[in-house]
Amino acid sequence: MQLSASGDRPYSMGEAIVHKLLQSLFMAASLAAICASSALAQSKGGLIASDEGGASGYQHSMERSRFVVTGSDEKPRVVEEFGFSKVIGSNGVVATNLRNGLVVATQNDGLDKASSSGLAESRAEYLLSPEMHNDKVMEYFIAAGIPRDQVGGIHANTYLSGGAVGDEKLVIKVDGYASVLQRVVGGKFPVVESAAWARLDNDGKSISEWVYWPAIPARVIADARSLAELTTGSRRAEYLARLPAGLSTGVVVIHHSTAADEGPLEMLATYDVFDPQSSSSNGPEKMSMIQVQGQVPIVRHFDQEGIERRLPSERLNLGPPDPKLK
Amino acid sequence: MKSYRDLNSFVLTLCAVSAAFLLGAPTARPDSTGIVIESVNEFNAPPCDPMTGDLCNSIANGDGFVRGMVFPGSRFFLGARWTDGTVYDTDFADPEINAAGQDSLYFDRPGTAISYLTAHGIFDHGCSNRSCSTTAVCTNPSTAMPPGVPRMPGSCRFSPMDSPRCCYMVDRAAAVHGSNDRFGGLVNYTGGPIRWGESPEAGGWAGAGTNGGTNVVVLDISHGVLPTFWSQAFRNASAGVQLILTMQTAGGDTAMVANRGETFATYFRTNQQRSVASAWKDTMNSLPANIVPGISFCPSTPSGGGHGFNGCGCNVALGFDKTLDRAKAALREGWVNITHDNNDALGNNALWVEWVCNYPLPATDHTAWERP
Repeated sequence: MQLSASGDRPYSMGEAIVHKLLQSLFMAASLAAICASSALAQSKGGLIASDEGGASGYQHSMERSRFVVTGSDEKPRVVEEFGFSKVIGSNGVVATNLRNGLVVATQNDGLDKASSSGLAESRAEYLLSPEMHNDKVMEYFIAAGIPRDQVGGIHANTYLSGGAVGDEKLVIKVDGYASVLQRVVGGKFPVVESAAWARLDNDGKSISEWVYWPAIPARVIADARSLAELTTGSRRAEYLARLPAGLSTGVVVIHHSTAADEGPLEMLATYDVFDPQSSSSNGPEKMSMIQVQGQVPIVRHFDQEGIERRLPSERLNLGPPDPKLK
Repeated sequence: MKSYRDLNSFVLTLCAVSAAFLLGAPTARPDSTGIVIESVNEFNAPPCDPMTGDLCNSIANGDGFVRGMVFPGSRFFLGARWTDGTVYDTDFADPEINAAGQDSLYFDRPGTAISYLTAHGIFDHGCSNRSCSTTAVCTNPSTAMPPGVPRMPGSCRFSPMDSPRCCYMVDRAAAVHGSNDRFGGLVNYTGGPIRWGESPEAGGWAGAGTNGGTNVVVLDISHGVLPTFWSQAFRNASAGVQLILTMQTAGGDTAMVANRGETFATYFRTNQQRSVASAWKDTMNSLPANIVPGISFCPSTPSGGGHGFNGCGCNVALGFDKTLDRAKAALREGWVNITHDNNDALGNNALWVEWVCNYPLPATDHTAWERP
């Protein structure tokens, strides 16, 4: 095989230095990543420091969770798998993302049909109201260490189930709630992709939870403040004129990579805007969108220059499609 | 190194076989571990423009699911991935029901664990302007507003965005924009030639042969199902498929977010013993709440619906089978279990459904969306 010219030529001194530096940086970065992963996996959690003027993050952990992994007298196993450090027991798994600190706790409720058909319903009738559940989850996460001044609100999502045979009407019951904390930093800026939610049983034990609450650097909060001035102060008209025509009033928010993103962590402040023409209003006859030729509700993100930005997860594309078989 | 690997592999295999023999291994069962993804951004000429009906996050959404599920060491492999114009409506239709259908080569190909479509849904809602206090009075489908072909049964339906009114059954469908569409771009899974999951293990009870094979269908679309017609919407399409996951709107619409797929897949990565239906439900909580003015907030939620919806909605999981026990058991199948073809449905007479909705309903509420 013949080497390409660029591959065959000797390094210049400058290149050699850069090469060495890159090698060292790579090794340092790898070492740091390994140490960070190891530290994260063993972390007891708590506040994640930010820079001066930034907002602390919160690292959830096994020690701070009310999720029950094991049965009595059972020792949990700790494994690393699929990018997560996992504490595994017969009841469930607490998994910590080794790259970004996301913590997900879920029960081992998967079974084959032959194993679960005919099993008696073990779950007790659900008794808490949505408000009571919200209160318990708020108390739980604040006690765990989420900064109180970063909680901008909490709301409950409802779990339901029901079944029927043939043409019978489904008999539906409420199975419980998940209460979701919404994050704000800098006093008023929502952090869209930060999430902390938990589903508790009647006894206040966690059935499932998801916590991703990274530290927010001062620079990003400062950007958000600048955008807020641009979009509410005397320069508002000038800023809005840079945006596409016809967009409604927006809101300044902070975005970061989602917990599932696999690229480097990105954070940015944007002015998020929705198209008013495609919004729905009351009643199913006004359910927004979806005729194929209609407009599609979508949130658009603009930076301080008024340039539209695509978030990391919105940019993903694995390339050309497979060829069709016929 | 190769010979060492071969020897190592041989010893491991020998140990596994011996252990299985000694411990009494279960009978071998066929497994399906493929992932098929079909994603449509473009419904018009490029570039993608939401103002003209394009869904600019579908491909990112589908690819996020693929990336989360298929990686070195995963039990799943990428069976196929089609996007935009290469997503044909015939990919979803059964050749035994309509000769133009080719689902056994595409969306419902044998060996598939999960088939995921991210595209448009349809607007048809079947609702009239007649207010009601009981479903008993909803007997006149001709009062329903277009589009769609309304028919009985009726329902006195309500939601946080809608006071009780008579609504009627209408077909539900997904919409694609392929370069070789034969059904007008519609995937009518209620009344069209759609049969999913008919495998040798399921049997041919659905009249569609046994040439299908997907075990889980995900329809990441608008208005995948509307209350209270869960059974009517999906019974025809359920020909052996173990689980159907989709979106139910209760006022407003599904939001075309880019990260529903990757978030769903994160639940596989974190716990393979978790039930897939639970993972789909929990996915909704893990997506951001609405914070942008102008989006139709779900009125019952002070901070505004969201979690993948513009308005009020629910992630919903449906399991059909021969008996209610088996239908219910479908929603307990974990990521490992859904690959086992001996969990395929043996009928579609019974239905078990589970939801998580982005608004609070009181624990005493047994009607949720309908006045009885």
